[in-house]
Amino acid sequence: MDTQLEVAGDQLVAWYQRYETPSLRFTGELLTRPDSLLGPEEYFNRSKIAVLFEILEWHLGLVAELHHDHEVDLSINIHNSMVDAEIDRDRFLELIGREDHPVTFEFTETCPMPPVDISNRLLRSIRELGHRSSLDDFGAGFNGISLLADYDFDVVKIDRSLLTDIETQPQKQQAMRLLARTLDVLGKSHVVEGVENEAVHQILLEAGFSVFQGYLFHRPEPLLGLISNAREEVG
Amino acid sequence: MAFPKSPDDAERISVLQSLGLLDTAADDNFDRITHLCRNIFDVQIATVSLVDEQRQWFKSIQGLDVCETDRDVAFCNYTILSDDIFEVPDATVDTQFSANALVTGAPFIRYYAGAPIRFDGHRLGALCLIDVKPHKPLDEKQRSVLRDLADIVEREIKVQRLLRESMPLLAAIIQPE
Repeated sequence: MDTQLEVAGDQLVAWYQRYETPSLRFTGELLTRPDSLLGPEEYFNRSKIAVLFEILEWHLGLVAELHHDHEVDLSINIHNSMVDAEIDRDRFLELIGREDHPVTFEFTETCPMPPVDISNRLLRSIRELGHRSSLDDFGAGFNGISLLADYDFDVVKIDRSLLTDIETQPQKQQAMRLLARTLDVLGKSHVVEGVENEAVHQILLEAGFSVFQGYLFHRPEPLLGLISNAREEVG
Repeated sequence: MAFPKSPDDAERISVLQSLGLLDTAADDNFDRITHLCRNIFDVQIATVSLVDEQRQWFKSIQGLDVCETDRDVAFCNYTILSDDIFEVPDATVDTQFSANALVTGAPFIRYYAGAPIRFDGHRLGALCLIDVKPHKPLDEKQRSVLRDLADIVEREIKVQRLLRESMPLLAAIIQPE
């Protein structure tokens, strides 16, 4: 599978970032860098649904190869616009239903999702197909509305903004501890994003978190390196 | 099939739909209770049934492989009319239910008992005991056990709702000013 894709005149390159986790399994997030002046977020916000689906098929192919040939599991970001209309939701479910291994799909809190009844049905369908759903950027730019209270995600990715000044503020550490316990009681998995120094890592470990993403552990890298290293090892 | 509705049915449905509970994942805490129900009352099927506008959806179901049924065949429509346990010892000889599609066809229900599950003054659904053979009516002690188990379901719904609502507020506390 090619780690680059040309779509609608743009060149996209697959990157990844590995998670720090107590599990022995290699897990992380699949990232996409467009070869355009736009940052990834802006690029995906402006992309047409047809393009987003083409990218999804490419991602699914990459993630399947990584799972089967390299024992690596990367989550895939889904732009919320891809599940807005019923016809697109059906197409999305049809595509991911073909996968024979579990995949985690990340939806962001910073873009609107369909209403709660429709979304929870979608998240249930994802689960019934053997996959998992993840809420990305939980806590980013808190505006009084959070999908977390009503939407039944399996995994919660805690936004880096919640870690600001946490070393010096015991009240924030206490709140993070409560958050970790609440997620645990509700049976939700987690990933804490943006962990960049050991002091913060220790505070989060003591608070009860165990899965992390951030520069302290791994900086994003082109996926090509991972696949070619593994190919060499296998060869 | 016609079924009765309480005057607060529309408001009841709106409360149910606002809880973010419908269509959510299976949950061990509810499954343990339906598991207990089957063992204690020796019935084939036990459910935590939530009565939505057009369907009853099972937050937990044991002994039958479905996740929902049409509302118009739901025995729970009768259970949610009052705070009492609603019981049908043999549906095949009960004029109200003998023609019900769940009685004349699969899963061929003969026995039903349901204790309403309440939330904020509304009855969202019921903790149900169902069997394909008739049962003697529950005695006082059994009724009290079923009610206690339904109370545990009610509390589980409340506590989970509270925890889910509190997470965004915790995030707000942690956010930089």
